[in-house]
Amino acid sequence: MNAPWLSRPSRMVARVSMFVVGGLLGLWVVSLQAKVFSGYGTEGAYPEYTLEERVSLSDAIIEGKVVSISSAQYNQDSGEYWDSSDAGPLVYPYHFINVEVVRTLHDSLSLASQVTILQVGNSPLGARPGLSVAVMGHPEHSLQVGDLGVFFVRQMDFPWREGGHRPALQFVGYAEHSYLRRQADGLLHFASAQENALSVDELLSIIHAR
Amino acid sequence: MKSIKVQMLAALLFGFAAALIAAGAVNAYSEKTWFTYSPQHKYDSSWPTGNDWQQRAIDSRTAWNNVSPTSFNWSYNASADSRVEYISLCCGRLGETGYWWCGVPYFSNICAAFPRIQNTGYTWYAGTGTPSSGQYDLWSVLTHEFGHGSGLYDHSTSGSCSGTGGPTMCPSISATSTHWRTLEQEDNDRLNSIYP
Repeated sequence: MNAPWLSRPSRMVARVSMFVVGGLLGLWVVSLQAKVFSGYGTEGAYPEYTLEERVSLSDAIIEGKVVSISSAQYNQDSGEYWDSSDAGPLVYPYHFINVEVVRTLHDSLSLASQVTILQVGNSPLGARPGLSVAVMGHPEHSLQVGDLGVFFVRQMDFPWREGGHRPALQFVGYAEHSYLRRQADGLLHFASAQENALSVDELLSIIHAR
Repeated sequence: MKSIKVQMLAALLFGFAAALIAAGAVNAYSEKTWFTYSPQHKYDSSWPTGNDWQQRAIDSRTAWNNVSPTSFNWSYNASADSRVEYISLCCGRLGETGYWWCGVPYFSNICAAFPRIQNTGYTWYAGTGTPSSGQYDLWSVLTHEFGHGSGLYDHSTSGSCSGTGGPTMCPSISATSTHWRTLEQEDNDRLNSIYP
């Protein structure tokens, strides 16, 4: 249908009007999601440790491969956000990094062949779908499934709504500084390009000297 | 000549898409920033009442207030939602900042921030000189936390971060180090970029 009853200017007015109506419709769809969005996150600062200090602070130093990383949720059984009281544990988002152990370079915990590292904060995979309060913030590590490396971990309490705390294997200090990634040259590389890569034997000599 | 109905329908769909894209673009632009350029904070009851601790909080926020040309500016308000806290933190952290986002999905902003200092396991130096062996510098760590509270993530660790040097928004600092008290150009640039 060519609408011959409309003049050229009128057709232009009609098009602009429909553009405006379409735009308003789009904004209305956006506003439908209003009132449902809120997000929470934490960003931390950590002590800086030398490699020797990190070795000393570790309960276990494991060579392994990242086999899975979970999405993030909050520190209670349901995984949902909760309001922490002044006296009790704080609410934290966290996620898990599962590592298949190739060998242990140091182990005072008698670890199994696969270990689960709890990492505070958002996950590289984002938050668990369906949470009523989104998890915000950048992950504190860049690990991906399949990464090979050496991981410095220690057993520490992690705040938990039910019971106050739970023991969990966690990185020693800032997560990105708490593992050495094995790269194609066979050496273990720090996240910081300022530090030289080292071999497993060189790391073992540092561990044995502690 | 095309049907006017088809043209009008195309205009409708184009306008719809333009609105959604614009909303998304605004969201990306405003990621993790305050809607206001003048956030306010108070002191939690846990914050030590000594002059040194309150003055270090003022010094820490002032570091960010002095960034130019942005007009972003922290100030004190006893009825603010945001507050500075001295409490037990997880995971071996020296400090952290908890923050709330709120708003509508495509237009959310920070609506409250909680710069926190760890009250367990570390010894703090609250003065303006040099910390003694084993002490961590309150002024430095709190300046870092106010940076998070302002909307900045940690600096990429592949660059210039070390325990005794680098931008304030690097993720870790050595005991006795005080270099986070003073912002580096990168810190200034990042704040200016999110609050132009």
